[in-house]
Amino acid sequence: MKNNKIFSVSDINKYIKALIDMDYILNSIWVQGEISNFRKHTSGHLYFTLKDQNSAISCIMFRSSVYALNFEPKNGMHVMIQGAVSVYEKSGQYQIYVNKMERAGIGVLYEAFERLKRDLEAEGLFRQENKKPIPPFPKCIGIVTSPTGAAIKDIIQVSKRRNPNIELALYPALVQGEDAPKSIAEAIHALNEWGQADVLIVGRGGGSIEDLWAFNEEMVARAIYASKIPVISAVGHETDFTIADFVSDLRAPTPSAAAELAVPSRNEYISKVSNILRTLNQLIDKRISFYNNRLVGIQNRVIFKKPLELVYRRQQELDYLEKNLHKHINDQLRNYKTHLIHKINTLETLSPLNTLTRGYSIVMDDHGQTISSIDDVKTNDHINIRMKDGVITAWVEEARKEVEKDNA
Amino acid sequence: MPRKKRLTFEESLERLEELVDILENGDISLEESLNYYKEGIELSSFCSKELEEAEKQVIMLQKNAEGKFIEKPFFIEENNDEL
Repeated sequence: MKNNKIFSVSDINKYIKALIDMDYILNSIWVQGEISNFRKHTSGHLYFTLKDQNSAISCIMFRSSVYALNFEPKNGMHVMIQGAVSVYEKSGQYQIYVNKMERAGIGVLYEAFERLKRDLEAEGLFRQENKKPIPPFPKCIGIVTSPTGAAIKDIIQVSKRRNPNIELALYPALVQGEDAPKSIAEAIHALNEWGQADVLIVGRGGGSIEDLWAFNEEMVARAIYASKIPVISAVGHETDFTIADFVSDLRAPTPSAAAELAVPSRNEYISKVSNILRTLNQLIDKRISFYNNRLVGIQNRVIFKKPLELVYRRQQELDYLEKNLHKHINDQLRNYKTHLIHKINTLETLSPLNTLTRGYSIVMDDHGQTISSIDDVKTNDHINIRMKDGVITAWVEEARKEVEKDNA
Repeated sequence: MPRKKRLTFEESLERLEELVDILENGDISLEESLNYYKEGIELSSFCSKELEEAEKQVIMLQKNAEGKFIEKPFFIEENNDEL
């Protein structure tokens, strides 16, 4: 006992720590295991135990390293950690100070991807009939991506080239790391709330499968599905397919392609509008000249060209008829006159007055009855003798019947 | 067609195509076609104006602590190209 040096607890822990810290293997090791006793301190540091079937080791991961994580560690999760084994002197515990943590094997990621894809597909989030049409003439494009990435650069460049007056509204989001899914989902919700964008581009530039992982998270998928505004996904390169691509209304192979799909080319529309204007002008000219021709046709009709012509024509007819009428009446009158004269002449020839002129006279009684026989008068009868130019009144002195001499 | 609210560019373009259709095939009076034509001229000059608007700035949208939207102009940082 005498020869033995007595150490304090602090000293022995310090000594052990020094020994371990000197070990070049323990200084930087990769350890694989399952997370348990996981605890996230308010400081942002992570405390957990890494275990396998037979053993366990304490682990600590400082906030500065946690920031770079692209997933949220959970109990039961298989991970690979890189760090250094060291001693916490206060409790004399050795533990691993974790610098990096990755999910064990890409197979795990692939499994998670396949599981989520299957679940969401079964739920109907990928259905074609649920996809909203991309508006052909958007005024404003909402963009969810990193403000410092290549994606925003490409999107702005392509959009402005196609249409300088397109409105672009970037809602910045983390596109990689543990907080990215929440950040992306929040940005999609916020742009919906803002309400002025006609279509959204959600994405980022190319990277490793871990870099793109946020776009395979359920939270992002649900935010895209819930968006009232159509969403174009634009994640990584052409060969990268993410859950976001399946649930979005349209998948663009790259951010540049998303801008091509979202923004109509201004020149195309300028020529479209001017074509329509030309067609309109042609159509209205055609219509006007059609009506004009009809009008000219009508104006050329006699009634408009020589409005009095018809009157004149009728007047002429009337004049002609009038003249004819006069002629007819005169002719008729003349005929009647001729006829009358003839009749009068005939009548005159036959008239007793003519006989009187030749020296004969008519004897009438007081009643105007012609006396033509001796038997009609007696002596002292009053008689009137009608002469050519007057009447002789006389008394009958004697009425003597004559015998016919010739027969005697 | 009475227009209550201002049509969007998209709606205007659709209406223009409709007007072309009507003028092409419609059995309409001269007065009606002149009215449609007038509407078409107005719409096409509106569309041309929309297309010739000055270049718009890119804006960056963020929410402040009260949840209100804040818009500010956004410029690409040329030396930052990591993602």
